[in-house]
Amino acid sequence: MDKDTKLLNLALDAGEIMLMSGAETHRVQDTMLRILSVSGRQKIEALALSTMLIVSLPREEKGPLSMARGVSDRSVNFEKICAVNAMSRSFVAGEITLEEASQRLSEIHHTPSFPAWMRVLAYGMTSGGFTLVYNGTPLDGVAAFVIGMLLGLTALWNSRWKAPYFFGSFSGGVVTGVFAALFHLLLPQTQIGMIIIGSIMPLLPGITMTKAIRDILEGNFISGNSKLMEALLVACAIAGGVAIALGLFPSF
Amino acid sequence: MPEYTMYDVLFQSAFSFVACFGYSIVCNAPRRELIYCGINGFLGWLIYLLVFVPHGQSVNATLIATMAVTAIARFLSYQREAPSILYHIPGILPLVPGAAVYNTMQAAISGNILSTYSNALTGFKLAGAIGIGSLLILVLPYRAFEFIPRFHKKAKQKESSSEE
Repeated sequence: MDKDTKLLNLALDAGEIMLMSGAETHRVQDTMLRILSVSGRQKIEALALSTMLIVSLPREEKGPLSMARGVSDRSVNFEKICAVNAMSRSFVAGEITLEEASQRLSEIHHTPSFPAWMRVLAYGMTSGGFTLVYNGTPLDGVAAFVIGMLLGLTALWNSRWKAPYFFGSFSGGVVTGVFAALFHLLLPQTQIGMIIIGSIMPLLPGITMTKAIRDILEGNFISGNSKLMEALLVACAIAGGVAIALGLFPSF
Repeated sequence: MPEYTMYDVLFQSAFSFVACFGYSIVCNAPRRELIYCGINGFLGWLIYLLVFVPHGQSVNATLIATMAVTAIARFLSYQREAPSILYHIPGILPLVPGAAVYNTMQAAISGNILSTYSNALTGFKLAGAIGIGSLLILVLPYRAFEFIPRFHKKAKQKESSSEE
């Protein structure tokens, strides 16, 4: 591989990690353009859509070079976004070479996330906390905390066998609905609406929705519209899961 | 609309801190930034309530709280040398219209079409307020958030920790 191909590969790898970790479209484009600007050529291009990346480098002497990559996997991982951002800045500043940069990227790709028990507890904190934020009673908060931990276990189990993300949201909705209804039957003084509203907070596509609207307002219509569809689909999956679960209990 | 006392406002904001702290763990934020993500969530809900309680307009309150949270996120991003999305997402999380999704579903199950549409429209209005509010602050130049010099230089320390 010559130097230009390596540079394009580095830009694509960086863009792939950022897009998979849930960075905004324009940040992905900026990072790829910044890496490509090291070549010193004019009219470099870097495009990011919601599921694909394109970079191209016009070369007068050997003909233009262009590469594309599809990105299907997606989750949210802020630590990787921060690390890639720092890496690209120090690469452009000339502090690390091309080989060191791609070495650093493969390290970033395998960064361990938080341990499983901590993530499950964090799901519980989010669900229980939001129930109390939205005017729930302390008993509702405890119920939502338990449901949140169950949601965390569901999410772990789903990522174990690589479930499609639509099924992930749907199963989360079903778990929320079933256990909220059970809590309400066992303890009639709990408010089922409060428990469900708080519990679905970690599942809701708030990040996707915000990024979609921002993309549309910034003029990235293709990725904005596809993200909008994704957010609607996830919200419908959650609502459908909760609705089916509540339908199992004839009293609601 | 329930009556709010000062105690309620602080109680809810404190649990907003807990919830946003938990959500940043779910999103794998770097360990040393977790506390700032939680603080942004706390401030987001506090500002929302401070606007919402006197007027009762949830869309206006969401817009103003989103603008404040985005400004804080960009300020923190400059201070801590990290992407602003890291502080922005936990900050706007309490404002995400989860209740609208639940109410829409509830109305759809019970077969009340009018209520389904009005709840769905409320959800879209709130989501649009979040989008427009963050964009209004994000279009400001980077220079606008550099009026206070960095508290401490941490460029070297950051490099060593990202190599772990």
